[in-house]
Amino acid sequence: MTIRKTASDYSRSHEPIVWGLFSAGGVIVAFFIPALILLTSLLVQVGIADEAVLSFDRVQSFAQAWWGKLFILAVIALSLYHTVHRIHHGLHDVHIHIPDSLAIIIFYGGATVLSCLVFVWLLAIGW
Amino acid sequence: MTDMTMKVRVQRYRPEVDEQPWMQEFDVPYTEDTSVLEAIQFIKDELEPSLSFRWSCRMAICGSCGYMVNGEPKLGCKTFLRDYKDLEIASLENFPIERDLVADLNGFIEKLETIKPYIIRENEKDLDTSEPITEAFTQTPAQLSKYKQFSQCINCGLCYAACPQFGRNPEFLGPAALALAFRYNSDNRDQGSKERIPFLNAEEGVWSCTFVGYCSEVCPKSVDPAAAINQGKALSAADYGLNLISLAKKD
Amino acid sequence: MSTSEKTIYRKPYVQNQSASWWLKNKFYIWYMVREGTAIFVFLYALILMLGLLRLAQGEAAWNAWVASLSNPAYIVFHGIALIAAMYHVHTFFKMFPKVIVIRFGNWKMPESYLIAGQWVGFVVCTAVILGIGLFVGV
Repeated sequence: MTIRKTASDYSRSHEPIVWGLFSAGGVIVAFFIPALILLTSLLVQVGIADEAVLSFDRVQSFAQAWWGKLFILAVIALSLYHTVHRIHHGLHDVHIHIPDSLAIIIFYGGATVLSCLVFVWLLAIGW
Repeated sequence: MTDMTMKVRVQRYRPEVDEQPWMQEFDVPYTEDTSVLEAIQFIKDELEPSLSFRWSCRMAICGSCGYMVNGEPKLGCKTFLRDYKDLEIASLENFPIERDLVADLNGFIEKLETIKPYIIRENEKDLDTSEPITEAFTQTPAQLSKYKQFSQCINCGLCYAACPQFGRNPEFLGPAALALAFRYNSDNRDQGSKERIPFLNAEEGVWSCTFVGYCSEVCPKSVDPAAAINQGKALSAADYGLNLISLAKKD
Repeated sequence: MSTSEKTIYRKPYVQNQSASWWLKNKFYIWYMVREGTAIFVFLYALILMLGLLRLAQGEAAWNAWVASLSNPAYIVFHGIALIAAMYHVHTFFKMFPKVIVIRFGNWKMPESYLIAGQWVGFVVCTAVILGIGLFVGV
């Protein structure tokens, strides 16, 4: 006597939205983050590259260009969505239970808030 | 010729007398081609007649003899004592233990049945066997290659023993069932994708999977259920998008 | 009494997953390492955000922030973050061909081609970023 489930016993998950962001973020992290870590935080600091690489004028003019703004926003925002999604599911994996509604606010809401901050700061840097 | 003997610990559980599973140790003689299945058959024949376990074909095609061997899901007939220093055999992880090495696979079977693992045609007359067959469903080698790998599943359950998401949530449809659903959706003779997509779309469908990938690692038939599920995610996401568009259109 | 009074001797023993399930197996441990790389990349994203804020706050703030990056703690963190990011690259490139299958009729593009192609793209992107970052307008 099996009580077999039918399609009506299952409801559509909304996971595809965050999965799309997670996947896009995964691509961004894979192709850009290693080079960025080297550029911003290792090559200059260990003496391989010149300090001038991180000079204010240079970085500011990059962040003032429209393509610079787009790059910075895309990299930070998508990296955030990718990593919060992984951290969220990672918590499940180690049996730390957070109610779904709270998780959505903390993780995806948080990533959205942080991305909005990036957007605002990019505007503040001007053209 | 020196006789080799191995210490083999086997999980015992007798529901009528035991509250918990426990391990029983045996000394099993073996040669270079002794399989785990042959080892437990020796134990049952010579040392402990009450030991219970499933087995059938002895050649990795029936899917009956799945056990945990030193913590890894394996087929007993395809795993050899020569590769181990000692052996610990238990019933498949993540399933309730029925008795000794026999796992309760009812839930697994139900999941396979749930996802409609058969050719579905829009016109039911196509499948009516009381009528003479007037045309055959043709399938080119290229069309076959789209799903063939996923049709090789022998329902052994090793992938469910491997999957930690199933271990956490027994409602997860799981690797074999989802790979099977994908197999039928990818078959050009089938017209039932619409009926199966709700199963993929559910949280208990593809969206419980975090691509651990251990299911594909342990599969004795190289079905690669992880690939099927994650291709299913792309399909499900596309379906989600299309659904949003049609919802917007209705307004 | 016609009601069935069979005694059922079945008592399936339910095995619940323990919180340390992933420690039992090398495959699972590497999976958790893979997922754990997200923590380091997340922290790096926050560091980038902090840098952006300092950039918006003007030259003095920016220079102070850049100077702080020479702190040994930061260098150690970024070294680990680089290793973590590279492990993400390695595992992501292996997972991608499982999701996107390229087929021409009977022929399926081997996964190794897709993996190699992604690494080529990675080298190109890294060269472009470092090329522009280190040399253009310095």
